[in-house]
Amino acid sequence: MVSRNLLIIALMSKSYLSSRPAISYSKVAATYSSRAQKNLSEYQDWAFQTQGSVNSLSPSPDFTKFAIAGRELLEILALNANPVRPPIRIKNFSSGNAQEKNTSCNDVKWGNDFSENYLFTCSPLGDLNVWDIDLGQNISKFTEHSRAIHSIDVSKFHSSYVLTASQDGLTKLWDFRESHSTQTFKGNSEAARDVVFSPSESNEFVVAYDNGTVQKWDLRYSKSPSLKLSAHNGVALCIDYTPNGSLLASCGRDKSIRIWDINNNQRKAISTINTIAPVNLVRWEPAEVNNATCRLASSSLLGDNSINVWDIRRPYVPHRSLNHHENNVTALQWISPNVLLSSSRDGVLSQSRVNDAKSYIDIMPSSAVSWSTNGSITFSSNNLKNPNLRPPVNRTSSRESNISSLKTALQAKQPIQETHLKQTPANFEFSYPVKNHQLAITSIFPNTSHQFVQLAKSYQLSGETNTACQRNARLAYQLGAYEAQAMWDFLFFSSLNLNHKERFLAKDDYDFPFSDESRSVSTQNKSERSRRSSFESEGLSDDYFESLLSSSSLSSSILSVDYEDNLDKAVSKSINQRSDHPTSMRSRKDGNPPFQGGRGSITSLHFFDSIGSNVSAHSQYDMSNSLHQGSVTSASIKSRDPAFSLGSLSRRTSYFHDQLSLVAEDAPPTDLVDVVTSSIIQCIDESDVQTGASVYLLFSALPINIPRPQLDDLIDSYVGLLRRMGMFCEAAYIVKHSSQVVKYKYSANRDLSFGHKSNPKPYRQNVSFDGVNIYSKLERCCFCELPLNGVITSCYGCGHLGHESCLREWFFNDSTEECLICPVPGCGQVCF
Amino acid sequence: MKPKRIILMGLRRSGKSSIQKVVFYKMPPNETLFLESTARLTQEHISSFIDFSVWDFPGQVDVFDAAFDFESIFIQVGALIFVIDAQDDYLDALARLHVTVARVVAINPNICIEVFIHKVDGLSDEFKIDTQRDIQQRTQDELADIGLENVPISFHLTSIFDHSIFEAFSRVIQKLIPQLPTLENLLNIFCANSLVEKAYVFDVLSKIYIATDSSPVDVQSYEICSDFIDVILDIGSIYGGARQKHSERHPDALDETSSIIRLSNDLVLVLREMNQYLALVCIIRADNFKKSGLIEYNVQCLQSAIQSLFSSK
Repeated sequence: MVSRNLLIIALMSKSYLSSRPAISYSKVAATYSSRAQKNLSEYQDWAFQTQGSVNSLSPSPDFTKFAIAGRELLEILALNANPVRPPIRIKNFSSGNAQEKNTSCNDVKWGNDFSENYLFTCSPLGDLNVWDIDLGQNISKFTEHSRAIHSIDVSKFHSSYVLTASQDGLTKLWDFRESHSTQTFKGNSEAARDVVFSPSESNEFVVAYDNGTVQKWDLRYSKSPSLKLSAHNGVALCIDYTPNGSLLASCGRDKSIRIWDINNNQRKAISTINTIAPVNLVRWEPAEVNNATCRLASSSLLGDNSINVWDIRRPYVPHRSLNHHENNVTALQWISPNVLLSSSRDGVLSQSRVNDAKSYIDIMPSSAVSWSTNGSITFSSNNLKNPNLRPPVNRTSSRESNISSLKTALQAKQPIQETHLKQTPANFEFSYPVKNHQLAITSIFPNTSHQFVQLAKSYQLSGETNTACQRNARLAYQLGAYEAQAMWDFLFFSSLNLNHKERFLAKDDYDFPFSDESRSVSTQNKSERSRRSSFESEGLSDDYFESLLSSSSLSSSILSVDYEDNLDKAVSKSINQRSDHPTSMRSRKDGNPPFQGGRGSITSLHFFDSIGSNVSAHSQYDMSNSLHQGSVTSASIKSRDPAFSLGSLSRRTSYFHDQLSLVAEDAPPTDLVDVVTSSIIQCIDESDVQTGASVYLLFSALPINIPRPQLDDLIDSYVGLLRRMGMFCEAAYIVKHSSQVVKYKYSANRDLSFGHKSNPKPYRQNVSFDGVNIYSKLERCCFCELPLNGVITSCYGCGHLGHESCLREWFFNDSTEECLICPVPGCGQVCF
Repeated sequence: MKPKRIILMGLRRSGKSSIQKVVFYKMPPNETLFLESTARLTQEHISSFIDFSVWDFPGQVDVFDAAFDFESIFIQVGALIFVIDAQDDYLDALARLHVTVARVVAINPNICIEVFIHKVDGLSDEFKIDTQRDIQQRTQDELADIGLENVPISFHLTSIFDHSIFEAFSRVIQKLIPQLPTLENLLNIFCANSLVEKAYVFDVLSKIYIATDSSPVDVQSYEICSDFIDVILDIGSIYGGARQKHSERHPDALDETSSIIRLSNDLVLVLREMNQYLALVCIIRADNFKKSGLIEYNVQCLQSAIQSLFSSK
């Protein structure tokens, strides 16, 4: 009785509501026509205002006609032979019959084969209606679904089979000649949103559900699906097979379109397209003969009114985008490849040629630069129309902007270099043209990682400081780390005491192989020269990038010599500065050559490239130098022309002698502690962890005036780098010679435990290496009794767990005897 | 009619009490951090549109302990919500779920089993779907092994920091309403005839939607409607007159609260109170809101239909 009441109420309300608001479409049509003049003609083959809102459209099997269905609307329109003209209305089902006036269609499908003469529609009230096209009336009505039917599909193999997907979660199979549904498939979800028959397998179909699953069913087995995919987060809204049935596309409220290899039972999507709005429709483009299709059209549920055509090989940018609809798109149908029929909620029906539409990929910028951690730059650029056009090079003092200006410089240089590519092949490790583009990879610090490894392996970090510095300086020089070399050399000289220095000057126990000639000249003369050249180096370094750019027309060897020249002077200058103001070294960056980090390696890159031409290049250098000075050094270098690199070495030596003489004559004797301190500070400032840590370790006996945590951080990060590069022996050596804190952090043999509950015993699994372990939240700190989270460590001896901060406080901040004992009451083990 | 009972279960610290507090007591989500872990079974009777009681089982209590009379508990249960912490290792939780499902289904085969994969706010989108797939697959396999392939289990990705928990709860509660199909059809007709984009019937107290039309629910429209209710409640409690108590009112008296907000993106939000617990909230395009009198009339028709629908019980 109750249910009957309800039914009556429902019917009553239906009739109440049927006094529908007489909202006319004239205004909509008017706005539409004005719009049509604006931009529709640009993309549109035709557009057509229907009498209501179109929810769905379906073409006839021969693609000459199509049916549209919507609220109080069911019409058949003809697709003309001449595609430019809008369709002609052939038949209007909803007019006339007053009783049927309240029909609203969620979906329409045209039958095929012997059901070609029938239309199938479904309503929001759960009715499946069959319409005879010739008679123009409803021939049967099935009302088994209690809730709205969202989708119907007609089988291509058994043309009397119809499937309906309904809000009640059921999918029903009907033979429209019978009075009842023949099968019911229950998908364990609230609502079935879409159903499609497989175009290749006669018994298979796929249903999309509200809970985000997409399930493949077999018509002959209604108990459980043959495949269940967790396709979407949230509602899955639409599915579509490719015309050959090999792939399935699904879309949903989570703004994604996923492509599934449905026949191979793979549970993971083979491709995912992420869009900007919830996707309500997805349709594969029909393939050209024998071609696999790879385009699909999609539209969004709300927010975005455009139709996007995606190429699944490029899932990030739509291949084409149609923007002519001014309301949400409700139906999509491909008529043929490239021709798409669509309708929107305001009742506009349109046909468009997709390939005429806007393509985002053509208007996106395609120049890009990327920077890899091992020091190489890759960039791609369009072919520049004007090769003389160069972006301005910013010259600022900070390192970051220097690097960026170098990138700009390289970029600007690159189109020009195309012509010179054969002459300077080593500037670009790879360079290949990609269809109107140039893609190049260049390495500006080719040896940094090699250098780092070698230096880490061979630095001497203990023993007598003089010899160690000397040795390290030589190592650094051999590996091309000139900055580090300068640092070590300077430390070496600083570490000698004054009379030792004089003795050294006299006795020649600093035995660089080619230093004899240079030392034969008076030191006064050289210091003179050094000052002059340092003055000169400012101009040179400022002009370096100009020269880099402009010299692309010159031979690269000249460039390299120019630069080498510049470098040496810069080094000498910096050393001068250092000896004068050891504490203000961190300001050394200002006004000095740009691009400090890669100075040495860039030099070597250019430098050794040009060995073939080094004679001429070197003479060039000599000319430029002797113009100013005419020094004996130049002459001596000239005499050693064939051994070019050795010559440069001798030059370098001479600079240090200059510097030394400066120290000896001008500057007051500097305190070694200050020198070491400022060296380390400078290394920290320049984030040269390796040199800084090495210097610190070598001079660790001195009372260095840097806050303890900063030093620990320095060592810590050096050890971290070493471990990352797999040099565990070196790392262990550093740890062994470092402070308590670092030692404690790294040398403990930590235990690792997961998920053990309430085990009173300490864990002794000895698994982990690193300082940070993640333990289960269930454990509690042995010290403060709070749950363990964050950085956790364990006692050395007994393995009790605790927060690192707690244990650190216990072991380090307490100076009594007690602090060596495990904090756990009753444990009593000496843990530290 | 007996109150429908909803049982919240799950491992300890999986978020059961937080869910309950956020959904039914409007606790701000970030304050749930300070909730003590539940020590004993708590029953909360929610007297709302449909009377249902939420039982929060403490995670450490083994329900199938002999001390519990679980048969008499579960025989009346409408829905079992099992909460799994997605950010934790969920294998223990799954084992517990499988045992629970096996026992509960044996007692009450009509029970709705809902799994909330909870705390997904911390996961990336890709990881969310993977987690759901994994949990779903494991559960399906496990239940197939004990011969329960066809137990209907629904999975929801939820978080108390957005509206997903409300949506999941809405879906659970909708399953417990026998009149839902009729209600939904009423809303479908209403939407079609009034050119409404989306219509919800909300339970005002909890901001759970009892029914909506059959077009897909999108998160934004749900969010804006539930925020709308908050605004109306707040303004109503400041400026509204004193309301008659439920018992004093004439049973057929219609409630008067209504509100219309026009948004800047040409949408109109309409709120209309249906009875003391329910409110209709619908979203209409401004173009279709020309004849508000007609829409008002349709709303009244809907209101009287809903009144008769639920008074017949």
